[in-house]
Amino acid sequence: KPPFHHFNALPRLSSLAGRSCDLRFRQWRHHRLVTMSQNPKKASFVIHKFKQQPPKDAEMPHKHWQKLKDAIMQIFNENAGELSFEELYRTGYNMVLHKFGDFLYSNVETLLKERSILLCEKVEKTTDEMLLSFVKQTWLDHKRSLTMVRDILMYMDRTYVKQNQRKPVYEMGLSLFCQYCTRAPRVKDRIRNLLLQLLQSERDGEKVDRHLIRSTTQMLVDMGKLVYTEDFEKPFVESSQHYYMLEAERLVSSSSAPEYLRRVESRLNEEADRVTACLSTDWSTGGVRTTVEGELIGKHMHTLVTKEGSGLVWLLQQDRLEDLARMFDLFSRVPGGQQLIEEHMAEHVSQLGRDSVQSPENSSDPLQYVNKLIAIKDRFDHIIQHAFKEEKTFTNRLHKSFEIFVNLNARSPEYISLAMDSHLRGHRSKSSTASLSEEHVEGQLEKALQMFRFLQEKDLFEKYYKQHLAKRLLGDRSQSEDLERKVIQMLKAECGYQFTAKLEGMFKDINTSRDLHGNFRAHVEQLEDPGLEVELQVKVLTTGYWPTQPVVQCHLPPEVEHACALFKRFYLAQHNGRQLTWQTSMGNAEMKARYDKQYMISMPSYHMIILLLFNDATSPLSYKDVEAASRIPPADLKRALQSLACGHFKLLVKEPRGKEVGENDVLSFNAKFSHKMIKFKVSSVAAVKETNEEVQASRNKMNEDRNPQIDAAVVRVMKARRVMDHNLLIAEVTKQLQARFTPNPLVIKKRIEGLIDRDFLQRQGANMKVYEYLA
Amino acid sequence: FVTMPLKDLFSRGKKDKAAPAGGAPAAAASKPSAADPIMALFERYKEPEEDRIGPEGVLSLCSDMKIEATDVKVLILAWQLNAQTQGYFTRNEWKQGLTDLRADSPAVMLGRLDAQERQLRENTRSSAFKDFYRFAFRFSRSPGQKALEIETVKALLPIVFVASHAHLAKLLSFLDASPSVRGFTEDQWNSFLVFSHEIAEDFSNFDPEGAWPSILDDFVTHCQQ
Repeated sequence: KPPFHHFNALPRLSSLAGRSCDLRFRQWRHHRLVTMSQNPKKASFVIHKFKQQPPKDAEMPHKHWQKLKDAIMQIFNENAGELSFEELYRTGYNMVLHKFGDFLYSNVETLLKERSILLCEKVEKTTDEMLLSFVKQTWLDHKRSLTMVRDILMYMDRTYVKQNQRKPVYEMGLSLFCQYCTRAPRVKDRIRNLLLQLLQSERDGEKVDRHLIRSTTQMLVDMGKLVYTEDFEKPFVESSQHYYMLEAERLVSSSSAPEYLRRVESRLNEEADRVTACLSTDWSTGGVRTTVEGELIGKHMHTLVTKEGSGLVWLLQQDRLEDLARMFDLFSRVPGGQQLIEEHMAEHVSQLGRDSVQSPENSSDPLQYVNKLIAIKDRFDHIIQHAFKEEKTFTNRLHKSFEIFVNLNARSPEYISLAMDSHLRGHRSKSSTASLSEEHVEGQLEKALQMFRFLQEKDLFEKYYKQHLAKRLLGDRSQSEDLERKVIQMLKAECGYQFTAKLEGMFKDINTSRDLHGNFRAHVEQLEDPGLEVELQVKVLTTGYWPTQPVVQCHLPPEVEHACALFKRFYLAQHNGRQLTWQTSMGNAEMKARYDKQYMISMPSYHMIILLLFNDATSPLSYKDVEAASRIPPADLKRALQSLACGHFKLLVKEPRGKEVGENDVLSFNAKFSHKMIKFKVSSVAAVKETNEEVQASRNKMNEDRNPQIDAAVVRVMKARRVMDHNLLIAEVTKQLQARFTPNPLVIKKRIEGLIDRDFLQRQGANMKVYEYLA
Repeated sequence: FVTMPLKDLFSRGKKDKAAPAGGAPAAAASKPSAADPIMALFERYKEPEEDRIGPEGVLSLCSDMKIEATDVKVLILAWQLNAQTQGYFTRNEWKQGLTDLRADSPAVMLGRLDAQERQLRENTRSSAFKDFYRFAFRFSRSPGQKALEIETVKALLPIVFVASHAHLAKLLSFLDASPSVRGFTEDQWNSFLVFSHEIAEDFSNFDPEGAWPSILDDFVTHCQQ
């Protein structure tokens, strides 16, 4: 009679019955139910006395195991149809319950191991062609079998395995299969090699079974990430590296840079697709991508960029935006790629810029000089926008390059001012065919102002701009007052109120003078006998706003003198206490001149003074005569005579002939003068670029003007800080003055010495490096 | 009292006076001193018409001390007395100075000044020397000038320093070779002292971007060529 057992685990069994078992077996239904005592009198459980354990039957475990073993073998052989799930489950259950868990587990383990070895032998016998698919099939079958085995031995899993912390049956089975089959030395290598071969074939353009690759790698993953990584992924990355290294080397020497990049781009896309479809590696994060990109792009970056006739410089020169964009995109994927492009682009721009500012051809025409620079900027702005994704670092680099080469030519401030002057006068550029609409000119001015931003010597620009503006305003040469004002506003926004205060003062003077002129005319009209033979228009300039001119008192013709005196009386009557000084070098005159016919000629005042001398002259006048009578300074006199006698309109005749005016020359009225135009202008005092001597003089004056500014900055800083280290002081002062110019540290040092001597500062005892402020 | 103005003063003094050294004792005799030997000395050397010792008095003092008028001890004496004007010692300067010096006769004065000279020569890094050095500059200036003329500088430097003082010889030859240098500011003078102490013979520790007055930058550049 079989011993009667207590089923303490009844509730759990019933819950087991509730699980869905997707088996080919008949559903096992558990009939044993809890029978509680239905005795109404006793509401509680009845606990039976613990009965003594019956002796163990030594034969039992073996018999049970044999049963299970046979069943499992059947399962392996796909012959499970006749098996009773209930019986097998119960067998396992009993064994565990009777404390034969160890025995059962180790036997199962041995069995699964043997099975794996057997499968391995089968696999080894397979040909290469069939290997992968055979492995795949074997794997799937084995998994299925294991699932069934697991179900039978579920009780052991849940109790014995858990309590003793062993591997559950399924996992154990997998790991044994992995260890004794897939990772068996001969099998492992064959699988790997076959996989790699397939992938390589696909890379070479053949069609392969991606599905097979996928399932094989999936199998490896199922066996453990480590298995996948070591057995497949690592070798895969190595082989990819090798493959693409060869490909890159082959291509790089035979193709042009854009061709190579195009090919690389398509290869990378292919590879990404391949990896995603076939493998369980993630393209973006797996090591494969970095390796492949490294081989294809990283290793050959330098070669590509510097390739003769197709490298970066060539692409930039040819404006090959699409190729540049591709290069940028690909290079961005490897470390240092983007910076490489940036470096070389900056180098190229710097070279272009240097050539431009140092070219003598450009230096001869300020407008061209500036336009060429603007052209470079526009071109590269465009390239950065369309090929380099408007990358900020590229733009910054471009600006830095400009800052360097724009300041290489010390005359840049002057040229930029002259270029703007040209626009504001409405000059049409020789090369440009663009219309002269105000918006267009405004655009040109803004672009010129961009160049201004790169200047280090902004104070020098201010000086020239003031000079040129003065000439424009005094000669009535401004095309549009609106435009002039707009430029002032732009400068104010750039540099602050101080920069433009004087310039705005100049405009105010012009406007005031206009009103003044109206009043003066009214005044003259109501005079009894003014005796005015000439019409005078005066511009009153406030000293301080306008560029300083040396005061020259030349000899005015009596009619002009009379008119001037009249105006002076009129003005000073209104503005008592002011002082007026005539600036004869800056005036203009309109003259009626009779040669063969009556002409109306517009000319600078000096010209007028000279010509009027010939009204009363009966014989030719010598240079010295003219000089004595007019008292015009020699340099200006020579220039004026040159223009009158050797210029476009030869109003005078000079003996001896020749362009140069000598002190012994003789001048006379040119009776033979004739011109088809009745009304014309003689060399107005336009802004021209300075002669070398004038440039030197300007430079010297500039340096003199800067010294007090440096002094003021030093005192300001020392007053605030009281005590300061020498190098820090130099740095701080430089920073403060940067908006206007970049002072030379040696000059600053000399100014500091001067300030020490003037008792503004002193040294700190014997410490030569530190200064103290003296209140 | 070895600067040029003083030499002029000497010659002027000789023109004015008929009797040189002889005049001084006579003047002193007319005002007999009390028990104060220091003031007695003052009376001996002072100008007849003024209440201060003038150039001849100094000359007389020098001969009594048996030193040359060009001796550095005269300058040291001026320093001790904190004399304000070259060639003259006022009554107060004399009184205070000699009291501090604890000397009441030319012989004692000589001894004290000798000792001082030795001390100054021994240690040019002492604060005493620094004070003396700076005094020398201010004292040697022409009245109303802030800077010291270069000829005076060239004459004064070898007096305050021994010939072997660091960089001295090179500096003098540099000044000779630089006609554009017209004089020294006080800052330049003072800085040279520090320079001579800090900078190595071969200028290896000289920082051209340091805060040295630019004349010293030029000096180093000149020497390195």
